[in-house]
Amino acid sequence: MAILEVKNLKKEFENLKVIDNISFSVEKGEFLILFGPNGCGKTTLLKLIAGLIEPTSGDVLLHGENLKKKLNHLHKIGFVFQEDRLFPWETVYENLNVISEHFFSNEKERQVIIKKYLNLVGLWNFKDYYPNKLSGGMRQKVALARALAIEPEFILLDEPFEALDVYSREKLQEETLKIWKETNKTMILVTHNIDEALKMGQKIILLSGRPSKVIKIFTDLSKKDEIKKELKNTIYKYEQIR
Amino acid sequence: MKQKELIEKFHIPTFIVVVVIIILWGLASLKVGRYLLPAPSSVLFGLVKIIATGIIWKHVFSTLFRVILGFIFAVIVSLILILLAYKWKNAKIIIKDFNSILNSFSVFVWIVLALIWFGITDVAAIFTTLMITLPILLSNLLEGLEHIDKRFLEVGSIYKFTKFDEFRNIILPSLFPSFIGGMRAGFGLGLKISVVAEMFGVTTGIGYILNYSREILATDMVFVWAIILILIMMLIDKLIFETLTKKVKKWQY
Repeated sequence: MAILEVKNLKKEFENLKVIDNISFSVEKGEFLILFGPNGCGKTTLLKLIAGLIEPTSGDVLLHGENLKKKLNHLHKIGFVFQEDRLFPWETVYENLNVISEHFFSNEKERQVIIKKYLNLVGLWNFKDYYPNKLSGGMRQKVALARALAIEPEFILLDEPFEALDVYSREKLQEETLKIWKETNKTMILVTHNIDEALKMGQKIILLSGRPSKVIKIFTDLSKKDEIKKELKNTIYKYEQIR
Repeated sequence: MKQKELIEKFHIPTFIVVVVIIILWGLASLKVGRYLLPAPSSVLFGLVKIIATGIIWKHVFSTLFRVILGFIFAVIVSLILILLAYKWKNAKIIIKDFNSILNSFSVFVWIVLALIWFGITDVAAIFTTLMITLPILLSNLLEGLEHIDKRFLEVGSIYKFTKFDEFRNIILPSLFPSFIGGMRAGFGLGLKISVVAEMFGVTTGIGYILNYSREILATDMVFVWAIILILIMMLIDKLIFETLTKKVKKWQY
């Protein structure tokens, strides 16, 4: 059964159409990729799903219920941004704690959860460090642990590996996959990196340039070369139009 | 430790200049007379005397009590006002405009008004300190509020922060570095102004004893209390504001 359904979603900013009638669904425990050229509105789509912005029309359904009507819907969503967005004035532990305390009032329960996820990303020993003492990759791992520390139903990842160097990117991609397998969380990753999409995803939704529409949904990723070609052609097509 | 590090750590160049100034001061004192410029030795003697007799504490504590109380009130009021400015746009406009008016107020107007309203009491000096430090703290906080990183607020929205959570967990820590700058400047000015207010309004405190020393022609004691004032400011700056600054530097990029 689909955990999340996006139905006929449209978003316009004044007269600029960004998202044009997008529909898709995400199964529980799935790793979904939203792939599209630069500036096509992928981040806007993610923010619509997270409830950060209101759609012009259309619905986002969680377990068949409209997210707008679900008062506590944000409880179930973790978000990892392009930049780590850790609070620099808090230690690693406190960065997870200030978020987690909104969902778990019991301090002992929180401690267990925070320890679990900091251990999962391999950074429990750095719990008392401030983010400025960590590398970019480590900070992004803390951001992932922060998203996990609210025990969300699904996690939205907005090009979280983009700002990292090649080595850190590959390492973090692998670790994210490992965490996904271990936690069985539903993950939606936005990217315009072809190799990343093919490496991480179970299902890829190919989006057009702005205004963004669904061109194709790849559910069988066994023919990687063919898919790679198609993704590449889409990128080239819309980069040239731009 | 290398020679260069030793020079920096113990402020050797400043120390040399101070010694030269004291020598020149001694010579000048012999030339112009002890009333206009007391000898360094008599100032040192005066300092030792008030420490030995314990007079120093009565006046230092009186001044510190008034300044710290006025300053704490200013910190509380400025934080309440910035919370209002953050929550309501109209409140921000009003607070900004009134802050500009407060900034243009003369120190002496507040001193005179405080004497009229509160008479010769501690309240007059406390009130003056509050009114002088408040616009400095507010200016820094309002400036900081303009530069809050909106990306952190987005994180707050994702994780369901209430307005109060947002203020406590994002706004206040973001404002902290500029607030320390404001507190440092505000406390320094507050101390100086409070001393002036004490000259007019009360019968204890460094301002009062400075003026009293002038009246009985004890210029050496004027120098002693001026030195004490400098030492207090340096000590508080070192113990409190430098510690806070170090705390912020620990997490700043």
